[in-house]
Amino acid sequence: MIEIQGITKAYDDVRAVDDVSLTIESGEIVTVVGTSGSGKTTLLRMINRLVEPTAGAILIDGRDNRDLPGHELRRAIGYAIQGYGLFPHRTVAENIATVPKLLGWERKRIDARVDELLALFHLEPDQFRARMPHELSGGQQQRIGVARALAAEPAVLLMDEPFGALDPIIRGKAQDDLIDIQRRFSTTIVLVTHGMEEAIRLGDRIAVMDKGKLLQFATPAEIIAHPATDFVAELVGSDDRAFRLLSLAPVADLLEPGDASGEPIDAAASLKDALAEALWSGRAALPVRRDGAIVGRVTRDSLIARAGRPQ
Amino acid sequence: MGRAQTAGTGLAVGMRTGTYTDAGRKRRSGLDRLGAVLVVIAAAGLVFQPFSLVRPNRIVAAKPVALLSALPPLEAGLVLAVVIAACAVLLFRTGPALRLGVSVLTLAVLAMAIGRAGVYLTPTANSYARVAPGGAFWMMAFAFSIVLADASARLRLTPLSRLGLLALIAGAVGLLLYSGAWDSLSILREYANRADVFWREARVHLLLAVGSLAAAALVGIPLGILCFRVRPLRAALLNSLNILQTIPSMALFGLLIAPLAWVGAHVPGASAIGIAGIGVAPAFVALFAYSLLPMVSNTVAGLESVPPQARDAARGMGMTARQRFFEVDMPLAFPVVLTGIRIVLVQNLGLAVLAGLIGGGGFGTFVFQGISQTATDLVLLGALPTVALAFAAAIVLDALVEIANPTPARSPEA
Repeated sequence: MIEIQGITKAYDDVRAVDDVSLTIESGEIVTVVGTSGSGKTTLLRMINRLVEPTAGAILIDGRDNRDLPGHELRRAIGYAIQGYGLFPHRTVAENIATVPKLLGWERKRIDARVDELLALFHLEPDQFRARMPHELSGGQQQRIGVARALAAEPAVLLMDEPFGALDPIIRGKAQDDLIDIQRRFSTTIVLVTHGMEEAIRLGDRIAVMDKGKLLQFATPAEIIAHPATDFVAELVGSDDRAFRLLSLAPVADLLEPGDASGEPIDAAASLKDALAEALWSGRAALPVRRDGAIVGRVTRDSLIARAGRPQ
Repeated sequence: MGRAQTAGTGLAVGMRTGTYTDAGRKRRSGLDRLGAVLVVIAAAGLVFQPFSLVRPNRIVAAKPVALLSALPPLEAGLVLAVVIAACAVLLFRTGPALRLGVSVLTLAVLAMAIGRAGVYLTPTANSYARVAPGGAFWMMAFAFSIVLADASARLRLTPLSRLGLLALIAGAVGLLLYSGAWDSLSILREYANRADVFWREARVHLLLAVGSLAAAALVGIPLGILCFRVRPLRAALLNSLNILQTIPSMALFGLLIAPLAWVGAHVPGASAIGIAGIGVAPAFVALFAYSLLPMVSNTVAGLESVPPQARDAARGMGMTARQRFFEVDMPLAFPVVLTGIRIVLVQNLGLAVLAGLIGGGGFGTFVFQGISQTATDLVLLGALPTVALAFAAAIVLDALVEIANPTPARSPEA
């Protein structure tokens, strides 16, 4: 759990972060979204004390983050950034091993952890261990950057626009990978992004910031349905908010008994995908499949009803 | 054996790629532009310049001797045939491996021929006569050396094979010197007369060039780190060093005479370690001063070239300031710092010649003695080792810079 209590960072007269308080639960993904200059990166960097606050405190699992020297605190917190910051003079394995080496792990344990992480990120260990960063594609570098951040099994992972430099298709894949890994290790993740799309897709809760202030801290559904200010509403956008809302829940939520014809849809697919399929194929209802068996149907009317603003 | 085999494979591969790219670009039968220019130079040398110069003694005017009369007829014909055949190969577009082989072979033949000419043209039991290489020899040596450099650049040799090629050439020259094949040449006559002095001055020359580099590195690298950290200092220091760099070298030697003479006379112990207005001290100080700017500015540039994200990640992962400096900043800045060392070493090897003017010793001693005695061979005895050292230093350090660089500028795909 990360408790941010009235944190402020002032540079001369400008308050980059202005009296922000919020509590991040363990095992949750919180996305911090805002335009550039909103103070989102400064807020993130105060958690691992790359930036020291002017006022306020941050508690991690109940302990003030100033109890430890900065470099020791940072070894216990994962850190991944835009541009990845891989060390160009070190191999992939050496890059991943950075924090375990700082912590003085044994050689064998480090090697095993490096191989485990490479496999986890779908990179063949024998093939990638000895490569240099410049021999990797952008997507591979990004994965090594996250693997390096996770190497010492941190409970908290801080990410600053980690997918910013990827093209849309690879970005989607990387986001899915991140969600998988978070589910597996229940790492607490704080992720800074400027895109509301990414914030909604990844965040269990979203913190919206503007000019150093926290405007709203709530679940994606709440933010889409009830934006706290005009600025938040503008960030969410009015064009496709109905579809964004649908994208948050699985088909299983609207499952009902009954028959339908045609190609079935998976129970785990999003409601948005189901509506798109129903509209495209002109069907009033779609059969729903779970683990290979038809378990019921979902109707177009119920999908449309769900897309309306929640009361 | 091993080396010969590797070289053989390299040659075959090189020829194939050479043919391929040439065929891809243009028809193979075209003229090679650089080759044509160099062939014209070699041919002009051969026709209009003497192959050897013969003097009855070391300072009187020389009598020019053409290639065909400089050697016994059979050998002269052979040399001529080799040169003509080589020119024919260079004139047309041919693979770089072939050009490399041809230029090495021709240079070897020329080196042997000039030694033979020395023996052939020296009257028996005459220790005053001098036989020197003439314009034809120098122009051909120049032309084929350029072909050698161009071909090895086009072959894109790896740093290690470039070092191997250098070692091979140095070994061959050493062997020629050791075997006595050149002993009849005027430069080696001059050397034989002052072998002791030659090696002493060689040591002084290296001490001046390498010692001032070491001192400049010891002072310049920390100064560069300081400049990088303390931004206001950077402009001030780099600008002052820049002004220092613009002082002509002769003027700087002159300017140093008065203050160093004063230090030698007034500071206790200073004259005991050799500090005086003339001699080694001012030469050393001047070379040190010229070395400082490249060392400082390359250290700053190297540190600036470290990617900011790598620096941020290092800090974000919990490296201490010390760890970041030694494990991230310095290794990544090192290739650029090494480039600075290369610039300084090559520059100092050349500049150290001027030390001879102010009694500082080094190869310059021979150059300036030779000039004052109008003895060209003595000038060459100082100049040729200087040039050879500078060349070798450049090749060795270029290779080291490439080996040290983790991200080669030439990516394999490009």
